[in-house]
Amino acid sequence: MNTDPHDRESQWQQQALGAAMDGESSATAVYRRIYAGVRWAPLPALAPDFASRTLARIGVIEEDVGAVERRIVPMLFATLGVGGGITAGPQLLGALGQVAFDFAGLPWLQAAAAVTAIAVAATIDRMFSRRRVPAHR
Amino acid sequence: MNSDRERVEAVLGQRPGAFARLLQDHQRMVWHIIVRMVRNPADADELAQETFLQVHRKLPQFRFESALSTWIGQIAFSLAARFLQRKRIPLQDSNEEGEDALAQIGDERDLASGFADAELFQHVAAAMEKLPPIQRTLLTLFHLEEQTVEAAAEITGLPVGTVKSYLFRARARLRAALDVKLGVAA
Repeated sequence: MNTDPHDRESQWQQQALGAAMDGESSATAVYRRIYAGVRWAPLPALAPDFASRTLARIGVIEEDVGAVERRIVPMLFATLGVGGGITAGPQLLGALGQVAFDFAGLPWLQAAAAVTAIAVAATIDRMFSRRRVPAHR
Repeated sequence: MNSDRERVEAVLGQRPGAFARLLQDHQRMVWHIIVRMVRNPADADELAQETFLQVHRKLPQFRFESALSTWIGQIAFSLAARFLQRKRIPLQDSNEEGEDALAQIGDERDLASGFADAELFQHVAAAMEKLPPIQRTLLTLFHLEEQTVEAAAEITGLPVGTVKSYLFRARARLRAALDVKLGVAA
């Protein structure tokens, strides 16, 4: 007979586990009851609104990121425009002064079409970005 | 694993309700891991939310090298472990209390019929509270969440042998604690 308490307990634990899995009764009922105890021991419950709060928080973060993007992108373009104007403006004006423009020969129709297409695309993009909601909400 | 792939692709493809379903499927396990580790329900709630925020943020990096539940469990466990470390609460005993527990177990006591179910569950709950965080979490993963030893090892980042050893000690300590209770009641 094995008298080592470590081996004995280990054996009982394994037998009880096997018996619990097989649904058979066993002399190792002590550990079977402990397993049941672990399973049914009272545990603080998850708040019923946990999922909705978590999803809302993830949604808020997405909106925050969107808001940051909306603020940063125009600022970035403005900075680039002003910086570019200050740096290259004088040289550009000087160069343009030496060029003789022939406005009559410009493709006005194509230019108007391109501007209209850009405006329509921008409007559609703004409409969809306003309606966009996080997929999981 | 296929259903994991479908779920992840649904979330990444921004299919309506996909992340809500993923959350519903895993919130119980995340909650059990965290509440067993940190105990305080308010802290556990905050950490469980943080877990899903991280899952949402890191999901594009998930490589299907483990089950999705294991990966989510790893995030939950690591957040809870860091929380305890910040509070300087040890995850595991420095001494061998599990071995000591064996000495306290009597051969004769009939624990199987010594307690009514409700009473036993209360005693088990109280005894689990006294276990080190890692042991009570492993017991919960194995017996309540029915994770395999291998999955529990992946979640906790421990070797399989260590997980088995911790489970053994934890059960022995529960038995010793219940034995003491039964001795007092007798």
